[in-house]
Amino acid sequence: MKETREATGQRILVIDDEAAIRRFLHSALSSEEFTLHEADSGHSGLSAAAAFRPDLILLDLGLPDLEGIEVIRRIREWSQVPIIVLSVREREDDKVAALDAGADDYLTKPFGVGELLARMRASLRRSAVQPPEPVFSSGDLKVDLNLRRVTVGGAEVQLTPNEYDLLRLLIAHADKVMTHGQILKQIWGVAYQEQPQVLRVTISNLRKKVERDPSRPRHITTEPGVGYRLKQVQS
Amino acid sequence: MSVLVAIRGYLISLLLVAGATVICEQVRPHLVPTNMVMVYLLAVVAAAAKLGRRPAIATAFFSVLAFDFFFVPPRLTFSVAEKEYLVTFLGFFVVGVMISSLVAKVREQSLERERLSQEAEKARILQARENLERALLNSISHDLRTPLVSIKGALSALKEQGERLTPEARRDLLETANDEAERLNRFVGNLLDLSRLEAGALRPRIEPCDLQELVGCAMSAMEVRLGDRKVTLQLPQGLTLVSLDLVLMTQVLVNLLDNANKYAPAQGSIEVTARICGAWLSLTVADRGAGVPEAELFHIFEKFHRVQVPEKTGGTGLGLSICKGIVEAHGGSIAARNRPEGGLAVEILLPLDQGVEEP
Repeated sequence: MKETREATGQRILVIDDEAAIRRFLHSALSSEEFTLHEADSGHSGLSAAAAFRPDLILLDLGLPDLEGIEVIRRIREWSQVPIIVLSVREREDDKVAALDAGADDYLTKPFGVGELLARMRASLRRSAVQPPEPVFSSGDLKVDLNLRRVTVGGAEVQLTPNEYDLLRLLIAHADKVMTHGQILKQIWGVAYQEQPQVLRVTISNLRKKVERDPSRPRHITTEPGVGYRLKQVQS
Repeated sequence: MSVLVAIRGYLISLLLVAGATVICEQVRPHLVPTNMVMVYLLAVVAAAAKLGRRPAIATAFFSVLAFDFFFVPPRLTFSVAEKEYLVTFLGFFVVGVMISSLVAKVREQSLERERLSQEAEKARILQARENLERALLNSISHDLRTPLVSIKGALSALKEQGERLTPEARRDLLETANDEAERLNRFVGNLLDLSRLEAGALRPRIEPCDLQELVGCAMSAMEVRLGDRKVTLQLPQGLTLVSLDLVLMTQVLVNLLDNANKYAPAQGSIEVTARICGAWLSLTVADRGAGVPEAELFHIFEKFHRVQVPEKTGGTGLGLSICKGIVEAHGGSIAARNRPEGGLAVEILLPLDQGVEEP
């Protein structure tokens, strides 16, 4: 285990058994913005999560001693720290399992540093303690959560209760992937877990109302086989 | 098993003899007994040709017994009144055995020839497969090494000459290494997909999907690579739910768009058309490139097949065979044709009825 203490930025815990990847993340992320701590196994990662109290965890799924999914579950028993999974496993099942276990995001290796930094900042932003913003705004989309008023480019659009609930749920988790299972459970209830077409129809209708070109969505993007993500464009 | 075959042979020879006897009985009023021997000889020849040497000799033996019993006076006994018939018996038996041997030999030779030619065919197929595997291996190692050469070269140049290089040269080297790493990653991903498809491990998870979402996913995955390329979408109006695996079919469309983007001139637009034709969904990706020589239209879906193009476009020859594998796993078909106005159109047909009802 190694700790970098030359800076006092946000604390990042890297749990990965590949020394080369830890080294690359170390060079890429060590800056004034971040303070890095490294762990090379699931168990040392868990104890580091408790001792180092990171602001964000970057976790590999294929650890030698403990499955990454299990690491996520154990951390989630006591902490809501954002976890971004970095894995070579690119199958949708693996992504869904990690996200359903409580991971915040998922990046398939190999990835670019630019993308990693963007995802890290989004996760950190979300986790920063902030009073719920009454107005969500991204690009031409504006949602006033108090008045339940949705406007696109200034023009008000009418949403059905389900469409509005779905949009509100995605806003509450802006920039984060919500799996089909998570969305279905929270909006339609457990009974609809196996009815993905209900979600597809609602997404399609919602896109028609809030997207300029529904076949090239800018706000609500599809993560094929995994779920949906509401992208927040910073203005 | 071979015992049964042998017994069967001898039973048939008995039947042949019985048949010959019946014929001789019919013609008995018109023939002297010695000429009936010819009918029995026919039975021996037939046995030799169809059953082999031993059943033929048995046929000759049974024929002598039957001829003696039924036709040599005194009839219906094995005793012989005129001793001349003993010469007939002996002559018949010797001729029968010789015919059996000769005919059987010819038969064995022809069987041997057949076996040899089958073996030669097998060896030829094996050789062809070995050649194909060697070609695949060569192709794979070439495709894996080529990007590695650029990556290693660029990185070592930066490591060893870094200070002496201009900022532009450094940026070029880094960009090369990055692009080639990306290409290598895509190739490895394709290889994995293909081997999963071939092993039958990539089973489509068929769900009702929004057609517009499918095209949207492919377009957003291609966004960076397409750049300023004009892409025209022609989709049915309104929500169209189709039963397919969104992840796999997105990949099919991405591969087709990527091909169109690579092989067609930059100013030519790409057209994506989706139509419902009866019980089928038709998806077409058409470009305005040079098309493909007619003779190659079928082969472009084969593994590692690459159409010879003047400039290097860096394909792996796997994209279309992956498309074919995925489409066929959906119970559909994929075909390419040259457009009369120029360019290539690849059309996918997927059965709509996959057991999922519309909500």
